[in-house]
Amino acid sequence: MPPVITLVRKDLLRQVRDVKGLLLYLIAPLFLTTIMGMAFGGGSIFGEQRISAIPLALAGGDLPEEMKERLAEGLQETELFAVTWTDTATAGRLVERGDAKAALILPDRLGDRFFTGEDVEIGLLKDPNSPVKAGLVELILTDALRQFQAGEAAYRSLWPEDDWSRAGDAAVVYEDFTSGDPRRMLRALRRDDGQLREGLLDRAERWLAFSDAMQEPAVTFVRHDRQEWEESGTAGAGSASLYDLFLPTFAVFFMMWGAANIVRELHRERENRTLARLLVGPVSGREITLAKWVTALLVGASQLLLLLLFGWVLFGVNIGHAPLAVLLVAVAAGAAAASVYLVLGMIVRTEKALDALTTVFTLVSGMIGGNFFPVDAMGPTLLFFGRATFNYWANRAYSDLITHGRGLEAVVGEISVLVAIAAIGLTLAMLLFSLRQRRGVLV
Amino acid sequence: MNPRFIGAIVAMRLRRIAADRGNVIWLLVMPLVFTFMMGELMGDWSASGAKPTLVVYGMRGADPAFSAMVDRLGTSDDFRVVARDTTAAPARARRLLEGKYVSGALIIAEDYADSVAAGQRPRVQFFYDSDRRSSQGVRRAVDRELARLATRTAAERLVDPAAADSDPALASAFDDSAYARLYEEPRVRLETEVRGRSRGADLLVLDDAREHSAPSYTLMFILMFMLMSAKDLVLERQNRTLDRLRIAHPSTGDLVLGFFLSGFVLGLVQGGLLLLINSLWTGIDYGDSPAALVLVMVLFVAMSSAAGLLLGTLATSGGQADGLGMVFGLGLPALGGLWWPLEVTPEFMQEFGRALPTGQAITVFHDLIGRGHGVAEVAPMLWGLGFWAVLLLVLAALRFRRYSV
Amino acid sequence: MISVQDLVKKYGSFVAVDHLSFEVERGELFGLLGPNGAGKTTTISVLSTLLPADGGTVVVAGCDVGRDPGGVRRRIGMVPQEIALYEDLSARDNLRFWGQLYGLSGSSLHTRVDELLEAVELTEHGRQRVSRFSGGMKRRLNLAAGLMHGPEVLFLDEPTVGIDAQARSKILDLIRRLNDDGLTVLYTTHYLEEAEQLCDRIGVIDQGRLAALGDKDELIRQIGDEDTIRFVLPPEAFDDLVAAAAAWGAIGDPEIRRGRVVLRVVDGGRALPQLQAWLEARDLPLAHLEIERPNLENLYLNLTGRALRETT
Repeated sequence: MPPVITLVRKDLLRQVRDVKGLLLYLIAPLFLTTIMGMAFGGGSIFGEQRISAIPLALAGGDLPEEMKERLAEGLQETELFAVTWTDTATAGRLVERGDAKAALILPDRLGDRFFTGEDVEIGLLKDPNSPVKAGLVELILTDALRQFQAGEAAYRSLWPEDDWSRAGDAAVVYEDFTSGDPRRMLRALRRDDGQLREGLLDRAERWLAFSDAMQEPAVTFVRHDRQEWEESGTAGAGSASLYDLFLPTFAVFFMMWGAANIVRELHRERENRTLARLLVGPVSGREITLAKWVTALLVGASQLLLLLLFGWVLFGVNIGHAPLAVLLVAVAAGAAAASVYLVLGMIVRTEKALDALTTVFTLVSGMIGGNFFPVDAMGPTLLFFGRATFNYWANRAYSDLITHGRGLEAVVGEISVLVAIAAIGLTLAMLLFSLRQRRGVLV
Repeated sequence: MNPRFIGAIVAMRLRRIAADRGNVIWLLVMPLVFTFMMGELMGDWSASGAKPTLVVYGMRGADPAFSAMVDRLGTSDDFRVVARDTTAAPARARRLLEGKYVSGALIIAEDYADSVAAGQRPRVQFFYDSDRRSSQGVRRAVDRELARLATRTAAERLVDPAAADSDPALASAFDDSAYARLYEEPRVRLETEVRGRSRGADLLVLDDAREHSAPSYTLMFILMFMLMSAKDLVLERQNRTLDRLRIAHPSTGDLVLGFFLSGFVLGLVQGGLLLLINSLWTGIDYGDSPAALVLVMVLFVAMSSAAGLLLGTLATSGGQADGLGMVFGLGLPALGGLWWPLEVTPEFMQEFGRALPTGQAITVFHDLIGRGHGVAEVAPMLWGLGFWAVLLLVLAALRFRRYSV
Repeated sequence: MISVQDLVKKYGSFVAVDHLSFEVERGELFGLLGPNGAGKTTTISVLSTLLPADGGTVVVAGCDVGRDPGGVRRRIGMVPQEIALYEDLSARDNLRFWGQLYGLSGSSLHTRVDELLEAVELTEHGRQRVSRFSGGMKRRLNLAAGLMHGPEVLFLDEPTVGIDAQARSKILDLIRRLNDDGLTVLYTTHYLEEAEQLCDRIGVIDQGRLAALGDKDELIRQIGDEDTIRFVLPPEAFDDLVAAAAAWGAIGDPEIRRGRVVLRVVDGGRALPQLQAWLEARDLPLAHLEIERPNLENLYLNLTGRALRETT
């Protein structure tokens, strides 16, 4: 049996028998993965966990009870909000305590104000500690009001002579007319003194023309969201939860620790003199380095795949549509990690120094290489640094495969970069090993 | 109780920690790096400094209304606009977005002005990336201006001065200045008020992600260091220095107190320094209640020190202490909302998170920073932290006694 | 079998081995004796190809360690001072691993593992993890691991450090048996009695230099053949003794040190009855008598000094 295989077998056997190591490098990631699955709405055996609805308080206004109920129901049906009607003071207190993330304070005579052209001021109270949910409420409201504002501004710029104080009547007539209730419309007209009738008819005609014009926009705007174009060009991964985004990057992160641990083993062997024993045997420094590299690759890649498998089985995590590509990226990432950590292992003299170096290196690389947030969210400056880390390319590849549902062809570039890092790193590690061997630093 | 004995243990352990310069990395450097990096990332989803870019292709074909729109976009403080006369293929816009070179790209049809003049519907394409916060900001501004442009253009088509008198569905003119005024000064307004702490004219809210990341990573690295130090206790047991201590002074209580207080003192120094540096560096204001700030730090550090001590008595080897330390050192911060705000998790996870000491401590920090709460308001969370500290210390002492026998 | 000529090894400006020369014959059990930090482990590391030499030539089993390290490695076995074993694996797994590295496989590997486990009396514990072994068991297995491939030369670097007398005795017996079977052994130790009991020849090394070399008798002869007789004598009789001592084969004049007479003679066995007769004739008692023959310890302490050596 070639010495490299014998060495790898020995290392793997030791890994399997090392209960504490398994705890550290397998159980801990699985445990944290489970936490994340539960926290971020993984589905499958734990059931679909949605992000909770936004507690929203509605207050003020003199709307009839029926209207209030309809408004609350309408908002709740979106499944975005959990609505509570209350008075203004209570709504403020709810927001101050954080029991409601936001409160809408409606003015009195809201309907009249809308249709008679009066100013309308809607109050929005936001929880200071809820940048996400309160921010979302503000965003939705701002969008809706902007649409209204654009339409009204256009109408009034066309027909400034329209009497907005009577607009309410016109609106009722128009609404009845378009909703197909001619009796109510006719009753309203019967009460009219003649002048209004004419005005109303003109107004209705203008409303109709304006409405038609607005519904057929003069300019065709097509919005392309990156998520949509990436998915439309593929099988459509349809990533639904944050867990889908985080699991691959966390799996890569834990793989880095696993690979680092195998390299640390090299220093342990140096310190307990088994390395000296190996070096007086018929094994070259290259074979020893290669064996450690293979072990780190196998352990790292298996750990990564196991975590993805775990997330898939337990939480129904999306693992894309190209299992072969997922496997290849794991192997390439494992190889790159093994090489990078071997080089780190070769530039320090003791296990303790390596421990400190790999810990700092892994945390910093994890941070700038996109292990703690989606790589798609990285800005240009961060990308500049991130691209210098090997884990970025693994994260990038998994983002393409899993988040965007792409195929093997989409990640050939990333795999190539990982393989290149692996090859250069391994060569460098071998050179450093023989250099240190020649200098007698390894014994 | 023997204060001298306890003091000697505390001094010895602190000296040993100080002797290893590598500890500075864990005590101060890493928390500050994490605070800064994660604050920047979570705050803007992009690196600070660089202004996002909106590129507009095909300006040669634009009409005055569109040019005016681009000019208005160019006045934004949040992003810069690069207008190109030439047009571009959609693939180019996609590549620019994918490569993070721009945060949004507009491509207008080459015959835009002619189409508008002919009453046709020219095409405008907008490319953006909803995963990026900077791109979301650009999209909001573009949406707003496009809605304005579309409404205005559609409205202008209802203008026919000659036929306006006979056809009520037509207008005699479009009052451009009125439109601009009405659009800019809407009749229906949303008045937003953050119900938080105010300092002068500025409202302090957790919009700056460093106000989350600074206390979060301070807490996380205090806990992590304590849990990592559990290994020291295991090693002291293995190399029999603990036996020596027991022989020198047989009271388990003094021994437990000595070990507990060494972590406690260290954690307070570490936490105090981190809070101070963060305050000076990023200007974070920890609220109006120094008493509440001190209490939450004291209780959290006490809980962390007790947790480290308990772990040290439970682990049977250095490797096991490392493994369990990592599980809890990362798990408790993740569950307690130190990595991401608890509000993005399901309800039951929020409840669970707030029952954990990490969740309680960060909730207190948020209430101090965001709401300006005092001791009375955060008392329930402080009691919770105190409960954890006492529980863990009692368990550690029991384990210590059992182990010592 | 081993030829070391003018070997020099430096760590920066510190000279660990300083022009060391010695030869070890085939089948010989050669001891390298010296205090901590004398350069024994450095010497053995150079001989076993682990460290490059800074000067001199070293030939082991016909191969030059500088030019043909591979040839040397195939022919030597190494038992480091540390327990260089994988403690999380069983004894059998460890031996199998080292055997496989040397190309053993199948039944020959299995047989060799069994043989060695039996030789080191660990057959019953073969499947146990090494971490559960006692210090003596680990040392025996450490030795067995160095023998898996049947080397021509065995380097043993202080293989009995930190174990009890019984365990040490077993290891020394085993080494003696291996040597009896023709294995050339280079044995480093700082235990004088081990070197004295075990080795055919001993090189005393101190501060990287060879201070003495030879078999036990030759070494003893290096500090002279004289015996030393010490006893208490009333001061008024001392002058008479000086006059009489020359007839008993005394070397030089007797001296008084710390209240006792120190008399160096060619043969203590013959001088003592004459001294007794002389004392009886004067009705003087023979008090606090002590005869000291020349020994290795004296030589060792004379060569290496009595001061503590501290190395960091």
